[in-house]
Amino acid sequence: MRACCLTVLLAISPALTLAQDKPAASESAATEKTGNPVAAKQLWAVTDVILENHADPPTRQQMLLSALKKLFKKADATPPQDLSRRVSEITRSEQFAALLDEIATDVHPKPSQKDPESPDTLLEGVLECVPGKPFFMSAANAKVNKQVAANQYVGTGIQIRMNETEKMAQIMNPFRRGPARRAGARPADLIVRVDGRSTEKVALGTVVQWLRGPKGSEVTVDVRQPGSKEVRTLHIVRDTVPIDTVLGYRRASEDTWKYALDSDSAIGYLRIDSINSSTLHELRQAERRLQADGVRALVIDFRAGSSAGNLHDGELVADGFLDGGVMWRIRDAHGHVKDIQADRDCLFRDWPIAVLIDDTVVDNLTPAVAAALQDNRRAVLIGQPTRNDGLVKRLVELPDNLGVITLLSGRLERAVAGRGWPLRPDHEIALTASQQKEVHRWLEEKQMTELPAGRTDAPPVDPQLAKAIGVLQAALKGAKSSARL
Amino acid sequence: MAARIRWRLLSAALLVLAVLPATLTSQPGDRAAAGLMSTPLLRRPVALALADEGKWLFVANQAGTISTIDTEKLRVVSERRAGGKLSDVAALPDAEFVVALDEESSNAIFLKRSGANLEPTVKVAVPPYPVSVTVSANGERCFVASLWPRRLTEIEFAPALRSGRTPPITRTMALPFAPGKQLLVRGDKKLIVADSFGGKLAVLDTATGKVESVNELPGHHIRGLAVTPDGSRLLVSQQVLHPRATTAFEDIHWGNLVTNNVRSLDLDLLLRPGGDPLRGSRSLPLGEVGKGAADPAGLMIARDGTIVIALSGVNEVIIGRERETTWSRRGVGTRPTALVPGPGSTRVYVANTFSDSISVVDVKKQIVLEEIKLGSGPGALTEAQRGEMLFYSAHLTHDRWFSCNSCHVDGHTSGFLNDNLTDGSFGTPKRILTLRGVADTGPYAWNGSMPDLESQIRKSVKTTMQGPDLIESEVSDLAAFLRSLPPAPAMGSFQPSQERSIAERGRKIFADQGCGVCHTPPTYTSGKAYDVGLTDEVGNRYFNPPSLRGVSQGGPYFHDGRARTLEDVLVVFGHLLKRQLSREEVHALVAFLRSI
Repeated sequence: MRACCLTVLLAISPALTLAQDKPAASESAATEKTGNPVAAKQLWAVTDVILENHADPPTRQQMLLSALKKLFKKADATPPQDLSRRVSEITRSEQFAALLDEIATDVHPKPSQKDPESPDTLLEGVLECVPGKPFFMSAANAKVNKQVAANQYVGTGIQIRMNETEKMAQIMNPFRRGPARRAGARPADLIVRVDGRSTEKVALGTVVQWLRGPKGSEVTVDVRQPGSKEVRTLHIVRDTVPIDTVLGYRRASEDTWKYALDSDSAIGYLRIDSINSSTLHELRQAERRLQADGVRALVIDFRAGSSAGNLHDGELVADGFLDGGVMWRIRDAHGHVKDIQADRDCLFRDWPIAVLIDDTVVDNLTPAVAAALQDNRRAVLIGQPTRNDGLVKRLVELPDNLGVITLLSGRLERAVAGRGWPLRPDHEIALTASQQKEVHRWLEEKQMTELPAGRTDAPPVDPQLAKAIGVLQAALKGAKSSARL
Repeated sequence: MAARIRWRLLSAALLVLAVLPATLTSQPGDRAAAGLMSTPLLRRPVALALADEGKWLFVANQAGTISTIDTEKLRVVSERRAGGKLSDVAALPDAEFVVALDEESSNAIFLKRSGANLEPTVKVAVPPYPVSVTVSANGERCFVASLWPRRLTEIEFAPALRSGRTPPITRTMALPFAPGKQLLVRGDKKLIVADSFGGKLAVLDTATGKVESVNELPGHHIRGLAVTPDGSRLLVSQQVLHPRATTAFEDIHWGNLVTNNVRSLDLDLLLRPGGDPLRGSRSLPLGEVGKGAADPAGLMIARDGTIVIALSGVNEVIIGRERETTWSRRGVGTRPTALVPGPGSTRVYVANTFSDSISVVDVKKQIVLEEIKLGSGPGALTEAQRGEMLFYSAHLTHDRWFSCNSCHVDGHTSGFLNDNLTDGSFGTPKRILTLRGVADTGPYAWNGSMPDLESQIRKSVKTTMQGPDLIESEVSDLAAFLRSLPPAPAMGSFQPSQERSIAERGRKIFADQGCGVCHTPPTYTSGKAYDVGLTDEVGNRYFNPPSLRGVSQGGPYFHDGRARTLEDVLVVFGHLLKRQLSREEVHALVAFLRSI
């Protein structure tokens, strides 16, 4: 039983971030049973993990009582009046096991009610009384999540959804450089068969299971475009799928970007879609291309990003932008405060930077990075306040491969005293609802390998980006005139 | 399995060396030289110099010989012994003389040149461990950097050599770090000297000998310096060990832990005392995901701005321009270290230290024209020699981002912290320890959890380098190499004699204070882990005392580098002293520590 070394700053969504629309699912969203119902001994061990790792845990008895009450509630049964008293007297796991045996006959949870991605009823009850609302992930999904966080996801490299008209799975996006794309997959392809098995009326989760497999293994997928009868057979060798987290301004080709703005070639634009292990590397690569293009100022766009990632990767990215200084502070469960310091190695050195944020930023990772840039006067923040809370959560493995939960382990504090969360921009600029819709669609479509029919990558009306350009142009002009002096 | 294949490849390379036809080396020259050329010898070329407008290439070998290559015929035409262990070579501007450094005898050796042939004339004794020499463009003087004594020596050779006298040492200059590479700039008015282990760059005024500034770059392991053709920028080949990254697989995979860089600095800002040379600087990463570029070494810039860098850990050179995004990589011999541009920079010659060969690269076509073998090898290598090759090879690391040498530079240390699993957890970065003198200082790791060197090697390659499973012979070869490394020489051994008497007083204080309980002579360490009142980030309090042999060449100190100097260890932290020491006592104790 050990805690992972990962620290997360968000509740990881069940769709694990690859899916962009509600009905969509990536292969990583595959569902698996969480195993047999949790035994008394296992639940006791879970409470051990929470007591050991949570910044402000409930008592063990509170957790056990909550678990048992959940059991009764699920069974539509009324708990005995003395349940609370009896639980309060428990000090050993054997006592709890005995009590559980005694009441189990009254409260059989209905198997049909069980959502495979939800924790076991008892475990769910425990988690309900833990402050900070721990997020539960099955062991299988935790493994996929780890791959995604490391940008080492193994699969065919597609996002899929259910096409309700055709009643079969449909590819939303084959990722750039992914195995499916290499094998000829196209957006909107309907998945007709997987390894010879028809997908008609098959649940999306099952199709995802069929598509999954180890690195190097092959899967044969028959696809056709909607409205077409021509079936294409794709031989896909599963591989690591690198998913770009740093994207550019306009498309130069399927796999390359134009980074300089149309309106001012001295200003570059980088969309940071999410932050994971590869983001710093991608920024280094982008810096070289931007330098080669003669760019001297930069817009970083964090709006409508995917909400997943580890604080460690955020540290690396913030450090990458900063030439020294305190990035932020972590206050742990015991009140100890640790300064997180940047070193002097720095990307985009001396370039003025404008960062775009808005109220769709709900996790703590991108706000932490943006705040570090604001507090060290490295960037000007433009847009709308974020909606993050500054709570640091930690991924903790449960015993017996039961899964993984996030536990509150501390609080993120700003480098500048008196500043807090949510993050406020230096220039508050709101978008109208229709502007925001168009901007977000433009941002989300950057991840698409091919744009949907009729769409272009022409930037929409965007007063926030316009303000960023104005700020950067003034900064460049200021630098030029001061150089003259 | 991968390790076995790799070792077979290495063995195959050695076999090639062993069966080289003698005809390659039996070119005109005196009989003795021809004899040397055909003598089985592990040459280990480390430095190159050209003369006669590039017609002759002189190769300084660690074996103590200088091989001469005819660059038109691309073959070795002579070889002669010049010293015991050569570290550098340079041709004087008039090309009449060549100067070589001999680490074994601590001499700068001036050799008179006649065509391809060299004849030693005079030797100048310099401070021990001379590692680099640079010659002024006017052919009047040269500067010799001595590693462990941290000294720079100026030799005014021109008038003396003309009249057959021994050239005088005109100045010696102290440096605040162990020097390595050096470069004269701005019409030889300024001398830039690079740290051999860490990331410092000193600027000296050559007229006054004064150290005008010492700047610390992010990074370490500086092995190449060159100025752009327009004279505006200094390029530095180096590595950066990123302090916030860990040795977890994903951090290594994505190049977050170690980047291999060329840093481009504004030369004016670097030369201006008090200026911040990082302003306006750029860092060009050389590696790619899946294809790291470990241990960049020799660096040259052609007149058209093309940059060539030897990637010593991955046996390649990389060629490109500062503003280009895609650079080419070409395979050369094993461990390419030094390189020198031919006339007009159309070619570059690369010294492959571990394959005893010189690669000739066409810069424009970006192809390797030839690999010239310097002579026949010794047949079989010793365990330690095989271990040395593994130590410097990035093939022990996932995707070849770094080698053992990257952090334990030349067996010593970069002085930085690294967050690895040697102490059992991430989030607890620890200072990288020197491996010099490591033979009898077990147990290993900061917490003393590794009983022997072999266990530590296996664990480091697996968890710190995310490398392959080593086979037993590789482990024992690496251990043999590490055991062959002597401790770093004490700074005090290069000091005047009065310092030694002070050190003797310090020895008594060391004994009185009970320092020897944990730091027990003669290794100045011991076998247990102690609570010395220091705690790491996860609450570890028990640390195995690092050996104090050569401690003056290390620093910063303690597991997290919190003490900048030995004085700080005693004064600021009062490290387990029985009582507060007087200023004189601290001075004496530090003098003693600098003597061991």
